[in-house]
Parts: sequence; C-alpha cells; structure tokens
Amino acid sequence: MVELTKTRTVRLEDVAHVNPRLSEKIDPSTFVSFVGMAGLSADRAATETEDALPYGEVAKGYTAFQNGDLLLAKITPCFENGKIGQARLSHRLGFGSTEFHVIRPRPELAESRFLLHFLRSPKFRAAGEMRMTGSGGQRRVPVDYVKQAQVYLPPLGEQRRIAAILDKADELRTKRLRAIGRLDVLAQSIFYSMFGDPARNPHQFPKRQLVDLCAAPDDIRCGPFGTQLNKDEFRSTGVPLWGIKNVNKSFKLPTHEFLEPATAERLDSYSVLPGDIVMTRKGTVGNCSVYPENFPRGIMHSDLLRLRLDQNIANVRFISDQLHSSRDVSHQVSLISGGAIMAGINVSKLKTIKVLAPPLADQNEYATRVSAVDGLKDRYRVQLAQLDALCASLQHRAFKGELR
Amino acid sequence: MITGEIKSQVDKVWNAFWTGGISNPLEVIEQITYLLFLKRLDENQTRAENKANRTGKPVENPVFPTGLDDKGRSYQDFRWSKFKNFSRDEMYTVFAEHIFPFLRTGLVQLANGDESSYAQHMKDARFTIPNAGLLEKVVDIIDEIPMDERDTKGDLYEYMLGKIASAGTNGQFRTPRHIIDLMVKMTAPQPLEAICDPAAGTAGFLVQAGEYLRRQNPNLLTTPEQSRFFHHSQFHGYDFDSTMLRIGSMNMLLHGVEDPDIAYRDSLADLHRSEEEKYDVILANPPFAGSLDYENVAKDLLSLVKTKKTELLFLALFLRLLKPGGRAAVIVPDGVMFGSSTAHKALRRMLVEDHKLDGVVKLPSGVFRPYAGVSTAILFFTKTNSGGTDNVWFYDVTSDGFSLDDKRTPLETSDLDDVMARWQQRTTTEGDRARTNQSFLVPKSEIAENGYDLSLNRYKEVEHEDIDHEQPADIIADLEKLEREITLGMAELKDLIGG
Repeated sequence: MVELTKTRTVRLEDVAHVNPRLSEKIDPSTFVSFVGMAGLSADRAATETEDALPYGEVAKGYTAFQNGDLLLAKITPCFENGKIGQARLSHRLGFGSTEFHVIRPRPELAESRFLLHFLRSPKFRAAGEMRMTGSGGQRRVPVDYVKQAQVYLPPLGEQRRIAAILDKADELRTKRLRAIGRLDVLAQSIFYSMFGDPARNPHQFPKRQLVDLCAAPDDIRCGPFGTQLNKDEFRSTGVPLWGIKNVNKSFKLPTHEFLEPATAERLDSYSVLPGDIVMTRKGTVGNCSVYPENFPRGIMHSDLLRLRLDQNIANVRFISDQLHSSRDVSHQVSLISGGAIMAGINVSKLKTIKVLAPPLADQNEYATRVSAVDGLKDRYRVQLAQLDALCASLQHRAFKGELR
Repeated sequence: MITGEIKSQVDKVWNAFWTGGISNPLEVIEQITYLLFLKRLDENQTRAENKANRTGKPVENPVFPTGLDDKGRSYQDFRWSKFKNFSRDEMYTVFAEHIFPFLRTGLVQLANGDESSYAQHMKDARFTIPNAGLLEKVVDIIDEIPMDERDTKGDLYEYMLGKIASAGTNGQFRTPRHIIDLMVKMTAPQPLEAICDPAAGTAGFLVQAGEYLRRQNPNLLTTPEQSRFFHHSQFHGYDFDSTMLRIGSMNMLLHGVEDPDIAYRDSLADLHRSEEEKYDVILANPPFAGSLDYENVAKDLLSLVKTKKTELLFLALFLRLLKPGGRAAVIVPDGVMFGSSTAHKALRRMLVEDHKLDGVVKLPSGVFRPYAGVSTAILFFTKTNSGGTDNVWFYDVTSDGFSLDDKRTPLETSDLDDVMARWQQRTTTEGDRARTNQSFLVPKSEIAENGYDLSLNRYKEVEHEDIDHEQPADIIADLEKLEREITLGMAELKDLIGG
C-alpha cells in the first residue's frame, strides 16, 4: 500500500489499473460510446469524436474503457505523435481501437489529470519510443513499459494543484493555437468579402489570362529538366535551389541545396526573384507562394512553375492567393490536366488560366490587409513557441517535484 | 438467365477440365464447342431421319453417311446418341482417330452444297482432351443438360464465355453484357439491316443484336424474306484468331442463327473493296493499344488517318464499311476524345464535320475491370459523307450497376436505363438541360471551337454551391475574445504558480 501523505516514487501500476478487464455483464442493446484511433486528439489530449453503438456490435474485438480513463495509442506513428488523452464520453462505457492502452487511476491514490500530464510529458514519451517493439512499421509500446513507468507522486492535494497549473498552461496554448487557426480563416474571409467567390464572380470583375498579366510570355516558366541540372552540381552553399516542399511551407522551410554562382548563371532563365509567384506542378499540384522580399535570387527545381507578373497590372499576393485557393482555378486546372491519373500543369496550359482581375488599387488594398494578418500570425507563432516552452518547463519541474 | 441446376452442371464440366489438366479457359471452351457441335449434328440428323420416315423420302443432306470411313469404322458411330454408350476407351479412340479427322476434312465435303460457316471453322479442329476418363465425364455431363431451348443453349454458352478471364495480347477483352445491351438498344437494328462487328471476338455484339431483333419483331422469323436474311445475311463478324472464330460462330449457332458470316479477316490489313459501304449497323469494341503490323495496314485506311493506334484505324475502317446513312456504336478509350496528335484531331474532325456525330456516352473507368482499368466512352455516329452534326449529346455515366473495383459487385445504382431514356429524347427535351446535368447537348460550333475535343469535362459545368464565408468582423471579434481569455488565463496561471 502506498503512503498517501508523503511524496514518493511509485510504479504506475501501483496507483492505476493498466488495461483493466471489463468485469460487468452488459445487455447487448445498451448503447455505448465507440472511439476509433481518429477519435483521440493529440492536440486536445482527449477523445474528440465518438459513435453511439449498441454493446452487441462492439462486444468482441475492441478495447473496453470507461468515461474518464486515460487512453494511450500504443502503435507507430500514433504514439510518437502524442495521441495520449482522457476519454470524454457521452456514455459511461466506451469501446475503441485495440491499439489503445487503457490507464484507470485509482482515485484514492492518483488524480487522473496529474497522471495524464505525466503520460504526456516528453520524458515518458521519449523513453516509451525507445522501448517500442516490433518491426515492419508495426512497432508498439509494450504494456510492461507503461505498468512499470516510475511516477513521482506527491499527495493527492498536491497532485490536484499541479494538474491545475498544467491544465491552465495547456489551455492557454490551445487558445493560442485556435487564434492562429482563426487568422488563417480571416485571410480568406477578407478575400471573399472584397471580391466574392471567383467561381461566381458576383461583382462582375473582368477575368484575364495569366499570360496577359505578365510583361513577357516567358515570364511564366517551369523549372529546368533533369538533363540541365545534375544532382552532382548541388552544393551546400551558394545560390539556393527551391523545391516543392519549400513552396508548400511558404518558404518558411530553409533549403539545403545550393548551386555555385556559375551554375546559377547558366540556369538564369529558371531563377526566382522576390515577388515571383512559385507554383508546384507535381505532387501537391497548384500550391502557390510568393517568393519573399528579403530573399536572395534562387533557382527552382523542375517540378515548380514560376510566374513573374507585371506589377503595374497585378498584385502578386492577390493573384497568388487566388491561384492557391479559388475553386474556379482548381476547376480550370482539372479541365486542362490531361493525365487520367495524376493532374499535371504545364507552362502553356498555365498561361491560359483565367483569374479575376479587379482594379489594381483593390488588389493592393487586399495585399495590405492580409499582410497585416500575416504579421499578427507571426507574432502569435512566436508566442505559441514561448507557451510551448512554458508548458515543457512546468512539466519538467512538476515531475521532478520542483513545482512549488 | 442461366440458373441453379444447369449452372452447377456447367461448373462441373469446368472443374472436370481443370482437374483433368486443361486450365486455359479458351481451350476449355474450344473443346466444349466441339462436343456441343457434335451433339447438334446428331440432333439435326435424327430430325431429318424422322422426317424421312414420315414422308418416305430419302434423308435430306445426311451429315453422317452410311457406310464406313477409310479406317473401317461406321460413320454412324460418330453420332452422339451412339458413342455416348460406348466404353470410355472406345469412345476416346473414336474421338481421336475417327471423329476429329472427320470434322476436319470429311464434314466439309459431305455437307455438300449446304456448307455452313460452322463446317468451315472445324477445318483445323484439334482434339486436346487428354484422357478417356475426362472425355467420358464431360460427355455425360453435357448429355444431361437439357438443350432443347434456344435460350438455354445460348445462356449456357454465354455463361461459359463469362469465365474467360484472360485479356488477350492484342488488346482484346470481353465487353460486359449490359454495356453491349445498351449499345444495341441505342442503335436499334432493324430487320433486313446488315450488322457488322469487325473485331468480333466471341460475337457478343452480334448475339445481342440477334436477340434484340427477335424481341422487337415477333414476326421476324415467320416472314420468309426476313427469316432468310436473318440466318444468312444479317450478321457479319471478323476476327483473326481462329479459336475466337470457332467460339464466336458457335455462340451465334447456339443463339439460333443458322449461317452467320463469321470469318477470318485481319480487319485492318485487308480492306476489300467489296466490303465497303456494305453495312447498316456497326457495333464494336475494337482493340485498343493493340500491337500492330504497321507495314500490313491497308493503305486506304492510312490515307484517312496516318497513325499506329488501332482504335483510330478501326474508327476509320468503320466509316469505310458503313453504308451512307448507316450508324455505329463504338467503344473507344478516353484518349480518342482529347488526344492532341494530328491523327486524333483529324479523325474527330472527320466524325464531326464529314459525318454526323450523334452522341458521346462517357463510361466510368472500372467498366472493364478486372481486365483493365482503362477509361472509355461510347461514340454514336451516322455516316453521311456530307456532315450533318448538329448538337452532340453527352452523357456522364457514373454507375453501370456494378462496383468499380476488381470485384464488380452488383449495385442498385445503374444509370444505364436513364441513358437509354434520355437518348430517345435527345432531339426534344434534352435540349433544355443545363451543362451541370448528367446529360446535355453541345452545339457543333462549340465543339469545333474547342479543336473537336470530345471530352465531356470540357463542356460539363460544375455546380458551384454557395459557401458560407464568415465575415471578417466576426472573426476579429472571436480573436479579441480569445485574446482577453488568454490574458486572463495568463494572470490565473501566474497566480497558481505563485510567482
């Protein structure tokens, strides 16, 4: 029996039931909550979606748990992704994926929120990853690791105090994350409130082909073919070489591939300059980003397209956002991409895509507004990183007994 | 439809072959074809003999003559009713040493004057059943299947053909029955119209056209002229695979067509002047992406379209074969609709400008599974030599009544009846349909403007649903609230930590 009044280190199985059996008899027609792996949210540390099913349908072949139990995804990659959370069910009983370990704290010994924070702590998770067994992508955290995990356990009252602190820090983090999500929606909302849905074009703005928004037809180009750029020409410094993944991350992801200035000179017609719109044409077809202002001249890979607009006619941010998210554009792309299996865009097809072309002043106004949103988003992101650090620090201290 | 008992009998035959060592489905069907043919020959002669008995006249055109063959065996032993009672070893000897030589040579000579195409196809018949036991088993099973009815015979054969699951090396694969059925109904062949499938295979299109004619014209076979035409001049099928020809002609025979013109011909190679403008209806699923002996392709086809693509050459061939006013329904791979090569464009231009393109029915890409996942469409056109394309009718089939995976499980969501219904209204109410519908009309001028592109997606419009976009002001209010909560929470946290 564990002493209740003193702080000591115990094994998890001493203060909680791990994978408890369902001991009661249940009528097959009784409704229970069903939670699949997808229903457990890593971000919220709780079950998010559930189905109501009669017990008879889930009695065999699923893991049983109760409202309030802690669920831990044991299989790759769910465990690594931190799918560890509390069951929040609309029925008393729940059933779900066999890839859950179920932890049911003994209420007289351990506070479930405290144990939840323990299970989510980087230390527990990192050590769990080390202990995973199995091969072929089917690696799992063994139940023994969970049972024997060493928990630094203060008395119940203290556990509650610590859990409340960690809950609060978590809540702040979640709210910040939500605020960032709202800013994403805000940018789109600004577009629609100013110009309407391009597919319907309620304000009857003129539509123009992309090629007409450029100074010269050659300002729309695709990257060099493999024969023009060899892998052994890649360097670790020099002129940056950009690929699909950088565009997908709005150039927030640095590249690790560079070219010597002489090579870049030879490939000058495939250059990207600040203000160019860069589009992916393979994999994630049609994603767009504007090459940022303070970046040096770069070269693009063969799977990218570049649009150098005449900025006296069109605003790059406005066109880029439109290409990126307009249903009308994606419909046009699906029409012109001949491939039966994978969509593909080539230069001559891209040139003919029509976009809304409202007055330049409106486009610029749009760009100003969304840059303000971007600026705010950047600041929120910095704050999110700080909150992450705060949470980590609090956790670290809490489970070492230093959070006083 | 073939059901229960008979189906299990056929499966028994099939299994007998399988365990007997013949596992190529085409070969199984070929061997069964010979047996069915022999059974039929015997039945015919028995009928003729009964008639002779009644009338007191000699038997008309006996297939099995009296007397002995050159190895000293009575011709009468070749008859089904006779050999089925032999011991298994004796039966096997009769088959291997007497019946097959007879099928190959004697039959053609003996069926004097009345030589049908079936006899022709037996010229290179090969007996490959490996042992007496299997032969006996198969003869027994076939003997038990009642085959008095045309429907039973036809369905029986059809059922066996359904078991052919191997895609041919020349780009041939079996067209599903319900698709054939739709194409026949939409082209609606009439009595006294010559129907041709220049890539006939197992003659599924011709069989289905024959059934359609019988169904639509109850007096078809009681009118002497129509009946004679039906049996001797209505159906024409070509292929360059002699096994397929045998199977195809047997399929026709079992569906009650006495003397169809199922003949060996490499349709793309020998284009005979005599064939030109001969047919009223062409129904076909020509091979796509098939291998092609370019040197051998008929020069006048190449003068129409210079290409190595079999699907284009076949389309050009069909235009040649059709009578002016004749109509065609042809399955083509998607590429024909939008391909940008000179040949593709020229052929589409020809269909639209020089003839009358009636309709394009786009099929879902799983129709030919599990043989191929190729995406296809059916083209309907009329040969006019003088244009006449007005509005082209498009239909986007999303379900053909079966799941589109390799399993092809039957579903209850077939569009095919609707295709037929709307096809009949293409000159009337279909004109009112919006481009967002499943079917709609596109005027010729618009098709010409688009470089004769016939892909449905070029013309179909997507219905844009209204999306509810939140007002920026609402989102900002939300953000402000979050901001206040964060500030407040921060203070609470500070309190909790006691800092």
